[in-house]
Amino acid sequence: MRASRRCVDAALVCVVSATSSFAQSFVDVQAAAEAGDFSRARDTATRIVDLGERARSLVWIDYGARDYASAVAEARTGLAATPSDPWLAERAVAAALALRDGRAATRGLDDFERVIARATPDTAELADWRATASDYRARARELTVLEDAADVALNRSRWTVIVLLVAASVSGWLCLRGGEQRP
Amino acid sequence: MNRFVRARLGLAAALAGASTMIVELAAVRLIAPYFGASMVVWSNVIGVVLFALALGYLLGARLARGERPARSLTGALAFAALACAWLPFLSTSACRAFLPEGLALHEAFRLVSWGSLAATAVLFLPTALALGTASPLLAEAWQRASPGSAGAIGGRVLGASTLGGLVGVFVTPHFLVPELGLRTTYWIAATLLVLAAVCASFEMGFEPRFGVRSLAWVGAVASAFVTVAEPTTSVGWVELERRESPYQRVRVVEDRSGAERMRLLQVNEGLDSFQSVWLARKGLIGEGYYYDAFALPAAWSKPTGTWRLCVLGLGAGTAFRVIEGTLPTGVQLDALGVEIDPVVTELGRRWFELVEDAQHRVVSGVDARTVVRTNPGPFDQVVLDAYANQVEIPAHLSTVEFFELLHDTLAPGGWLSVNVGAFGCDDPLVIALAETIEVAFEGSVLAVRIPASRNVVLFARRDARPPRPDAPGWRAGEPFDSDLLAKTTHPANWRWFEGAKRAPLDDDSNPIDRLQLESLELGRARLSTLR
Repeated sequence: MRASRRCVDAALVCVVSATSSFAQSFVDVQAAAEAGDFSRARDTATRIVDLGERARSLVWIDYGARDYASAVAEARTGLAATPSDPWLAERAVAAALALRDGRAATRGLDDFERVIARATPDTAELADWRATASDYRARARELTVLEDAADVALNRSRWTVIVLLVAASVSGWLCLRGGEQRP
Repeated sequence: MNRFVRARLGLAAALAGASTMIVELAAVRLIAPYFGASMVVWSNVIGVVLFALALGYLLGARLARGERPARSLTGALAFAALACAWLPFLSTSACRAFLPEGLALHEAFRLVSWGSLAATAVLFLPTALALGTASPLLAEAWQRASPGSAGAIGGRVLGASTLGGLVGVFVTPHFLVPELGLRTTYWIAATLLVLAAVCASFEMGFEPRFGVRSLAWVGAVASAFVTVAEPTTSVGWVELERRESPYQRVRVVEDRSGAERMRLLQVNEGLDSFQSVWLARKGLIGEGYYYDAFALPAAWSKPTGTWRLCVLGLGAGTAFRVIEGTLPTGVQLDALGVEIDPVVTELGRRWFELVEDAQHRVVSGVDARTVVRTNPGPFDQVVLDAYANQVEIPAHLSTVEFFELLHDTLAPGGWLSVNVGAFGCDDPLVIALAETIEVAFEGSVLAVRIPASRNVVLFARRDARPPRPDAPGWRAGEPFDSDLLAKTTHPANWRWFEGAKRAPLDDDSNPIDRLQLESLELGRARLSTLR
């Protein structure tokens, strides 16, 4: 998670400094959020024209307010517009993990690792992204194993009940068969 | 001779009846550490036991046509004794087969219905089937030893069995489980069944009788030396104490791995949920803990002098510590707490620094609605945080009649704060409760989703409106503004209720169980759209 936070900060700085119009919009978004008005921050973000930049702002707000489901959805929308954005890819995974959704996180990790693989080499930043992806992969695997175990347990429960019910019903029917006998 | 035989068979019927009720009543508590003790689990347990008993009656009727029904009876009772004695030791394996470890509460809930049904069937079908077999065999043995009308004999057997069951019904929850624990309870039930087998084996020869009894005693005694595996704690957590109360299994766990020591009070299956939280310091706990929202009314109101508080569902006293630790300087807390489970209060005193004095009064062992009906107010704030069986809001604490009672206990401008386990402000459970409170208070209701939690807190006021996140007056000063209040201005984290459209929940018609199931289904559906 430390690697994740460094990645988040570093990527945000890169993104903000790269695009001046986004920089101004994001400053407005950030100011509104820091003033304690996430609603105004979100309104400001939705008015950003560029799809990728809008997505980054919305994800930043939604994740900050712990609306993880919206953060995942907005990140995926943004990735559709800017498929090479490592920050959006990372946030999609982080939000899915916060929801304890291993399968959604695994899906996001495939995208994240594809983005990292295509990224321009910058040794320190890439190393951070890879470390983050590795952390997330381990966590997603744990959650997916749990989800699979839950599915297996559910199937096992249903079949156990069905088998026992059938066996008991047959036994009951066999007991009822045959005439009355007195010793 | 006939009278002696009848007495022994009558006693056997009574002992078997008592054991049946002990097994059935303790059954839910046996699987509660894994599946909880909700209505779904209760209905599964009762259903399986009734089905197995019915099957046993049919089997007993078939065996009764044999040459020696007394031998079959003795065998059935001995088998029931063996199966009964081993139930606590088999329960862990059986339950874990249908509920993996490590699941969060909302993830485990979809397994509760089928999982508890399967575990109950595997665990209790053999015992209940053997117990059901006993009744027709008792009647047949009685008929052969002392001929009479079928109705008269059947009535006497049923009467003796039911009287024994009556004793089991009262002794189990009031004494056996809370005082002796589950393993001893099942061992006592097994012993009663062995005694019943002895009473019933009057016409068997020495060797078969001795063999059956010995097998049953050896099996039952052997069970006393086997350790029962309990649900484990999460990594880094240590269990401090575990108790069986008349209502639930309760335990206190402590996390010593973090920067701050933290204790949680958990009930039944626990999972990742908690009923109370303790930190060494009073005041706000931090992100993800809904108790912090209970401190908001005092922060908004800026009282002087005294803040009169009533907490319904006090648990181990977390609400007291959070609210008292955040009151403005110079303001004293004058609090009344109500907690139905006296064991929880006792653990609160021992592990959660629950103080009882003139300013902190605790009513323990009494239902919240009973206390409210005595009109103990007026209060500046009433907190409703009452849950039964981990996940269920008690139906009688969620109706318009109850909220009208709460309204009347509040001082003018007083606050109601209600904790609701839910996934968001559009949750059907949140909507139903908010609209019910709206009708009772004849005013607006604010729902606030607590970030990073599975909780929504509802706010209402007597003769006033709660503040809105999109309006002036939302801020309360630090330490609230920069964290909790800021995040709850996000549109997904709050909802305003005004002008209720649905009929409120009332004492006559309250589908709270269905609403809670719909709430969980909605949570799962949301997650599935992300995959």
